[in-house]
Amino acid sequence: MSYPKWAVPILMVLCALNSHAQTEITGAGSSLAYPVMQELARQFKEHKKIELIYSSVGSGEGIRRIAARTVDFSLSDIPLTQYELNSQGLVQFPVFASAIVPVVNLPGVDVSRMTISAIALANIYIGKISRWDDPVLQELNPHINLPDLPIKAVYRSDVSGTSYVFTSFLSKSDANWNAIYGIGSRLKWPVGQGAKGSEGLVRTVKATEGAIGYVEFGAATSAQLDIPMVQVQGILITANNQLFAESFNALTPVRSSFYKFAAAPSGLQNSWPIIAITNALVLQHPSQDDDVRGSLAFFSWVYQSGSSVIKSFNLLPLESKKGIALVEAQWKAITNEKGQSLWVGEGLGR
Amino acid sequence: MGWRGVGALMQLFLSQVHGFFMRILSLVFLVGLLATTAQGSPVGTRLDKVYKQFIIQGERPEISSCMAIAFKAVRENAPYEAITYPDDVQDSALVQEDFEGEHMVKLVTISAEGLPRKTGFYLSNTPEKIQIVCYQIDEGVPIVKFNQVNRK
Repeated sequence: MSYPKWAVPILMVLCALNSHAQTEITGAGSSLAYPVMQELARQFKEHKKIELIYSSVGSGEGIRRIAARTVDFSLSDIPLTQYELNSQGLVQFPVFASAIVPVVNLPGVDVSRMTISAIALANIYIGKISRWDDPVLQELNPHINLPDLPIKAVYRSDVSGTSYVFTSFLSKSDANWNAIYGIGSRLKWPVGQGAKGSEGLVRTVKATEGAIGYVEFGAATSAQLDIPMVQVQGILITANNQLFAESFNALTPVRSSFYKFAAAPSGLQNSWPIIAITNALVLQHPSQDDDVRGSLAFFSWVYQSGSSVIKSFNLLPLESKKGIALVEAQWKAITNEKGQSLWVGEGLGR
Repeated sequence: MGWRGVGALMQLFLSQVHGFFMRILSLVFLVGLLATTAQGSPVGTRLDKVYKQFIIQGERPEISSCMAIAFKAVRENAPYEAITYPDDVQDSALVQEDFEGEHMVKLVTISAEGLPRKTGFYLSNTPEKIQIVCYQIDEGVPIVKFNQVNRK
């Protein structure tokens, strides 16, 4: 089949017009979010005919890319304070959450019946507890004959939101950890071996006998890693999705920035203590309206239609009407250079 | 060498001198322009740029604003006129959070080297080991303090 020569430029112009109309959204950040973002992007394209490309580069790199304005949005498990958001002209809001769990590779031990206290976990990462048959661990597990094996602590070597959340938990649980190491998306870990990304950490723990690490629950279960029970202030807590969802729903943001979440005083007594909230970051005053509109359309679709996909990845969708109303209030502050609001949706909570 | 040759040499000499002075003049003009531009920018904008630079450099997001605020203080009236962060600042900085009553407090402690601010004539200025402490209440603007380490 042949076309007349004059048809070629017309076809080219039509193609260019068509590609301009098809918006492409680019995002980067949290590696924890990558699997679910792949599926959400696939379904979003199916329903809305808009392509979304998400790069799993880690929370720190995601923040770097949105600061450099090379992506339309980033996803991060490292929250920014209101001051930091203002300085960078960014808006932050939660998309979903996940439970971070300790994972253990101890062949011959039924790890699901094993208990590790929050303080023991801190002492393992400090190096004070260096063998699995340490008296502290044996006392917590009188019914298990723990092996005479060295503990190989594994941590994330990149700037990681998971590390940020995990070390926040260690800081809250152990005064010694808080005084020396504190909270960090990256740290000078006293002992152990570094691994890059969630995938790297899972691989290292799986390949190392006697290893302990920390990872998002969905990644732990899909890699079939063993998860011990965690003891916090004398209360024994078993990792399960129902508890994670209840724990997440019991949290409310302390301020409208979504930097910090806290449980209500009447919150759950035995809630899962390590919940990572994955926040999106978008520009507050973009130079081009479409830079943000596409991202808001995507997240709006996620809140309204993405819950089942998020749950299928063992993650926790933001479902509370109050929470979604707070997100929408933040979106109303996103304006173009003329001061016009870029969120013209009919209401996320409806 | 005739008069023509001398004239040509003079011309070459004058053009070299002229070129040299023009280059010096251009340099002075450029430095002046840069200084004026820097001083003319609002402090907030410059601070945001420094913070952005730290973020883009890939520093830990939770310590970058403190690093930027410390630089701002150094440009103003901090007891140090220059600070240098060590190569391992990403790993060694300490971030702590606590509640003081109803107020959330974020504390960032960074080890660095500071060049003491001096007035008048001096022959040498030796950098000191310092701790930069940023105290941020309820997500507001961090307040920075400089503490000398091992002061005798």
